[in-house]
Amino acid sequence: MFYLLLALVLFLQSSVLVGIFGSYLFVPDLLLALLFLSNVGGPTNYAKGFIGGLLLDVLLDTLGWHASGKLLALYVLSFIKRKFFIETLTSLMVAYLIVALLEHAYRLLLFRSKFYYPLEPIPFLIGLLVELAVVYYFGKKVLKNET
Amino acid sequence: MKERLFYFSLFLFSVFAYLFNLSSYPLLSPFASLINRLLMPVMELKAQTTKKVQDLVNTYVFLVDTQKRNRKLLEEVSTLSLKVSELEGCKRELLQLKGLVEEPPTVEYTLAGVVAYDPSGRDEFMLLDKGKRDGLEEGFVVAHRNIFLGIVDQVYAGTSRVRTVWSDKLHVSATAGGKNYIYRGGFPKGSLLHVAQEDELKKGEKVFLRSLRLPPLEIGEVYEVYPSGEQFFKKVEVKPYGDVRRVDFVLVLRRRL
Repeated sequence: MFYLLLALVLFLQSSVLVGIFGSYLFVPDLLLALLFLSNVGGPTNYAKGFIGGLLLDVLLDTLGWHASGKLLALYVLSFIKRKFFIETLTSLMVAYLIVALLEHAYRLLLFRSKFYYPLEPIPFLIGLLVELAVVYYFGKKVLKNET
Repeated sequence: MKERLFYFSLFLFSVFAYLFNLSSYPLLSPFASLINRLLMPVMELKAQTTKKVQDLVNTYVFLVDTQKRNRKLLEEVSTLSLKVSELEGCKRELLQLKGLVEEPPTVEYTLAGVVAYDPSGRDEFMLLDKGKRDGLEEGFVVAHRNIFLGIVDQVYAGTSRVRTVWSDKLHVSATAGGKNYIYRGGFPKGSLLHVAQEDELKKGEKVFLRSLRLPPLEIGEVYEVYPSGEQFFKKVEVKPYGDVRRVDFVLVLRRRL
């Protein structure tokens, strides 16, 4: 189920959303949302994160960019899970916001260390809001299933 | 702990691979090209989908933009057409004024604008925007160029009413075919009264207003001549020239008949 969803998300993120947002810098990171939701309960599975990131890197021809970002996000998530309980929707959203902001900031910095591309806050915020909406919608179901 | 270290080393390797563009290294490039070849159909599908989505988004943005521009242009067009109709009205009025001023009558006159017409549609009277304050009096002759339109029959403070050539209450002295008659207005035709059976009035003969103190003014032309049932007179219909509804300005000749 996870890998089926992964394939769907990878295709959506690397083709459809890139077409809509114009640049893959500001595309809503649905892969991150999927990894977050699948790892928020139970032990953190780094392998899934790395494979997902690597596949997305292959599709976008950015070897290492997403893979390292997703591993970093999972480290942060693992740290948050050790320190806090994520049992309500609010805590889930706050945790995702922290993870997503760190991951996006890391990837933007990594990208800017190699290339120059103007940072456009509005598409970036729209992308983040889309991610938050997805996490909000599916996070409710995840929490419901866990209880 | 070992697992974490392993993934941490993977993380470092990924960062290194991205920063140093490892996929283009000669040692790894055959491997990268193999993966690319394997994933070629997926990549093509991805590229096509991206292009189609981009086209759709661009078309949508273009259509929204065009719709906005169309709305703006429609507003501009309606404003401009309003201005055009205003300007056409002004042009018409100016042409009429020019025509009136180009051939001024030899007698003293007042230029007046028509403010209202007969609501019955029979054009029996019209209201002018000049009245007692402007020195108008009952009985003054109203003309447009050299065409007789009627006679001022009621004068108010700022306006006055003109009994036109289409009204059956208008009776004036007229000349046609070298003889004098009485012209009685009427709608849709006026008539000449008491035309003797032997008078040779023909269709198309011009009928003039008869006045010794005014320049010659045309009333209309003989439209039809009928032998009436009366012993001495025949019936003569006159089609007046004055087209009241086409006139925006008239000359009020400051003399009675």
